[in-house]
Amino acid sequence: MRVTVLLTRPPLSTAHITEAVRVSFMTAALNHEVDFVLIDDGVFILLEQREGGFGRETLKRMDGADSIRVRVHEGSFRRLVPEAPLPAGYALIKSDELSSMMISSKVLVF
Amino acid sequence: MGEDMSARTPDGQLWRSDTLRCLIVLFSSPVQHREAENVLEKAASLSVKGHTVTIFLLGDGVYSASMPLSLPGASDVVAGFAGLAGVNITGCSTCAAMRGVSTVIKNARMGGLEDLVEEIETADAVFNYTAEE
Repeated sequence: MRVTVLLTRPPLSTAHITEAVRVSFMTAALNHEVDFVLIDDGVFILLEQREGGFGRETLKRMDGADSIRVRVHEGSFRRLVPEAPLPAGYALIKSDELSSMMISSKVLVF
Repeated sequence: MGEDMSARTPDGQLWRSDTLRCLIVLFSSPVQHREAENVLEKAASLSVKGHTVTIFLLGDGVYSASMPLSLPGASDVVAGFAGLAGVNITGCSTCAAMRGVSTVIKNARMGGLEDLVEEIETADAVFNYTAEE
């Protein structure tokens, strides 16, 4: 099964990222594929530069899971955080690609 | 040209001969937001139409299964959940433990995220009520 997890909220003000990450890890642990997509305010996590910061560390842990791919919605990225560094391995995804992904997978929104 | 009314039920609803497995993920508190009330209505409606419905309570959503909140004078929405027949209600046990939700309504059970993943896998449709903070 493929699951698309959309994170729409910033990392520090809500518990959305916590649950999104927990669900993603469990899904991956049960041998499913996860596309973890930062979209809308979810892209603000990319502004977190401080080493050891919650959001940054969370994404780092996800890097270690082979069946979780982190993607960044290009429109949200360009509009909200155009100056933010895009970590290596994080692919931008266009709206039409995201639409196709969502149609062909199970979708969770946080 | 009118549409083919044979594709609709007598009350005008679109007719489906098959039934769906529906998963509703609820993430917000029933005493702070309207999403739980909307979930209650949607679950009841889907169930009446013959669909199989599972509600998974995540984060503050677990309050919707809190036994104390279902008692008279507490939360009408949670009382509604307690009276919801024919719908599977599962809560995240970790979320419940973190929030002190130790006794739950009779028609709910606590489970783990592996239960949520299993529900996602078998669901034909997933409804996300996870927007409110």
